[in-house]
Amino acid sequence: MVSVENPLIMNIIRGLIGVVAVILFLSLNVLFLTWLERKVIARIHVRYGPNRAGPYGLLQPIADMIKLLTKEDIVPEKADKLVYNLAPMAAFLFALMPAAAVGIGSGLIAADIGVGVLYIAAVSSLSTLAILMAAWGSNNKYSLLGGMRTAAQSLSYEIPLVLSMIGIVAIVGSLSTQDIVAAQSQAWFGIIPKWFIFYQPLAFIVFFAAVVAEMGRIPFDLPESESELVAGFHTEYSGMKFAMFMFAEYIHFVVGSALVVTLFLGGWHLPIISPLVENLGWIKYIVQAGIFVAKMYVIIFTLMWVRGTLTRTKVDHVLSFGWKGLLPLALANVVITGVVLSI
Amino acid sequence: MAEEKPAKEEKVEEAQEVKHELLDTLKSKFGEKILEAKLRRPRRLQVRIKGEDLYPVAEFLKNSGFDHLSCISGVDYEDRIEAVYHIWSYPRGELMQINAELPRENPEIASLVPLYRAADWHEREAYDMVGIIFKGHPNLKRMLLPESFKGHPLRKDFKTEPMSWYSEGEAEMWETQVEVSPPEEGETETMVLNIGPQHPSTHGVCRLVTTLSGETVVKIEPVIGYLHRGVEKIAEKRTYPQFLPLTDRMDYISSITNNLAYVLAVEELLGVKVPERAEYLRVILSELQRIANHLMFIAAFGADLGAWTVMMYGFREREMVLDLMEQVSGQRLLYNFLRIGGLKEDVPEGWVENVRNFLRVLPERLADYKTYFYNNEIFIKRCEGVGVLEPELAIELGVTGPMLRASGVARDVRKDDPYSIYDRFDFEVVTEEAGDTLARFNVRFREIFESLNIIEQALNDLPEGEVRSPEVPKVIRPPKGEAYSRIESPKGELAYYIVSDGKSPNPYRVKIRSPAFCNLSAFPHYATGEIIPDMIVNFASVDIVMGEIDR
Repeated sequence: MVSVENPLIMNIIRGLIGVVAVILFLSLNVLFLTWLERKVIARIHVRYGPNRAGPYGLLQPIADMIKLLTKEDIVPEKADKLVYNLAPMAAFLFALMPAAAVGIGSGLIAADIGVGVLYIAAVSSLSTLAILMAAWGSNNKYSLLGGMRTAAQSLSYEIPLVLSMIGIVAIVGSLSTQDIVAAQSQAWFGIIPKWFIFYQPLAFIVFFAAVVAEMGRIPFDLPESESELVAGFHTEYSGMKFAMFMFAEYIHFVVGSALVVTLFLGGWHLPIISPLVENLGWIKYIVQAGIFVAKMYVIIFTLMWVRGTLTRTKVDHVLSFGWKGLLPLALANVVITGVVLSI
Repeated sequence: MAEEKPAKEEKVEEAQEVKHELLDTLKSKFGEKILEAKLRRPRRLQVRIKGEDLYPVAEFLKNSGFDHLSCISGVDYEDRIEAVYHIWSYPRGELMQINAELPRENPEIASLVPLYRAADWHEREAYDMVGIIFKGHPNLKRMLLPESFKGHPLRKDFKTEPMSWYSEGEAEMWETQVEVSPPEEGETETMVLNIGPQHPSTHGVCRLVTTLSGETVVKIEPVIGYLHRGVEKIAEKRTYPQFLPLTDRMDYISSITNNLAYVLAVEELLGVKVPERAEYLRVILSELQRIANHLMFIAAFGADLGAWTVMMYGFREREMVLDLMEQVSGQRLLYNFLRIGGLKEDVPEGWVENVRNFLRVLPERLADYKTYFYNNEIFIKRCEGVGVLEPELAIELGVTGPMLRASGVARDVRKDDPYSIYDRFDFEVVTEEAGDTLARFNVRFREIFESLNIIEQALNDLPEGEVRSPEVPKVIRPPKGEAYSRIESPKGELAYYIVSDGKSPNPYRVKIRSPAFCNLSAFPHYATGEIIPDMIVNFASVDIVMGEIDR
């Protein structure tokens, strides 16, 4: 019992719990998401989607996992073995890293670091590296083209992504995600929430577009556009390695949506309900997490809807959209925010 | 071009005279060289020459307005080989058939590539199949068969024993080799990417050997033949009715039109008149098939753009056509419903009502498509100005069908060279001016509505009566002769060239002029210089079916 009072060991235990919690939270969401996405897209496509494994096909993700686990792991003869084998793990790891600084409730966060937003911006661009590793390591031309597209694309959307967060940081005066959410807890007349989507609509548009590009989803799924590059950077991957890429992709999906909620949609705050549960002890945390997850799924559903509606863009259109569209908008937002704040 | 349409009736009359005039001019100009010149039937001219005189005759014809090289076929007559050229004249509205006789031992003939660029692939195919050597062809190598193949299968003395054409130890030669030239001085290094034969966007088993500089496509060389089943050879071993089911398997997305082109050619050989009701039903079925084909095109086009929703929608609407087809023929894909001299049987009771119902429902559904595509900026941006095919180039490359009309050339076999009873219907030849991928999409989309219009007219006039001509004999042995039936299939000009020797119940030679084959040959000419995503939509806009291209 002595050790419990030791702050270092406390920190380590807390950190470990955080890591496990983050991985568990993301994994469960990803498993559910694979099912949900297939169902939602199927409905948009006038199909049924998975409906054989379990009720409403809910066991489909488990069936998929078993299938992927038992698949043969094929390594191309001429692949760069080290890079090829490391890439899926790197993709998985880099996708997990930003999740540490995103909380789902006040204090429900793996690592409440002071420079949270900066940390997220820094590590989220690392996943580009994993994709480049896969593209290069596979020794496949389709993969290489996919990797090149990723590199070009990430350059064009990472900058607007970071710039669009500056406005919020300036208003809050802190880089911590906890502080950013706390700054959105109030409401006008107790009903209209003071979310940053209302303060920073321009930044929201830029951030949303950039984050979709970051997730690599339609209309920005160029690195793996199946009709052009077969499967892009993961063409040569099979079995669990392929599964890790898919996992990483869905983690991006969850984390990206969570970021949108944290930065612009008030995190775990909801007018009327949040003040009610403020003093209810552990119930407060459950309600907060519930609100956060619900908001996150609104964003996720929207993105699935987008996928069902739009076609894929062209690589040069993405670049010009990033540089000529998003970047000036993000810069304008920074200037406007600066001027307004100084007044 | 628009003012020509009302004047069409007189033009045919006038053409009767001009025709003779042309044949007379040919005779007087070339004298002894013209072995035979005749008018087979209205709009069908035929000239027989020696192989060595081909080029000047073709040059003269090209200058007299014969601008569309429809087909080149090789026929082995055991004592000689004939290279048969079918050249259509858009301005005159006539088809010239040139039979160029060649010795069997060394069948050499001048290549027509300098005159008609469309001749490129046709000549390669004739070389591959019959072994005619085209002097001056820039790239004379096998088209449908692998390089290591021995012999020319459509020669009459070709041994069809299994594997006689295959030699041991040449398995590695099986793949068609494509030469890659190293970069010249001052050029950036390029990368060769084999797109296909297994690739999501090649619509079957087409292989595109693409030279890339970054993502920019520098050169494309389509390699086809992966689905070659030797249908033309099989035709020589089957009786006329027995070959009919195989025509379904050419363009399996629109089998009725393939049936139609074949039976029209055989009926021309036999001189059989088809009952009125059968003619109307043929038109209705063909137009339904056109709708199904275009819906399938839209679906596949959507898939290539990453718009899977549209793909599902396209399939859903196509399902309605398939249901109608199933009601008449019992089949959903390969109907085999047309017969020489009519149809297999009459349509079931209530079918006409079902078609009318379909005519009502489809436009409502298509309204959604309009919203989806034309309100979608990403879609418009991806297709607009991409892969522009100039009208002159399109004609020269032998492009037909919606692709040609998208380049602003209002040519449709149904109007220019009416077959069946298409001259009785009032419909518009859909054209677009731009010639880009968006135009090609638009033409097909708008053609659906024209087809609905034709079906409605045909349903209103549908007479009662027989659907199968009693004149057709039990064993079909057409008199000695040749027939070339051109129809407007959903993909373009589809033609069956059939030679009958007058004694056998089997066709002596069947040559299929596949529209997608010619349209695909034009693809490299307009798709280079753009990036891979553009190439994919360009390729999708050709609307190919490999079954028809490889035959």
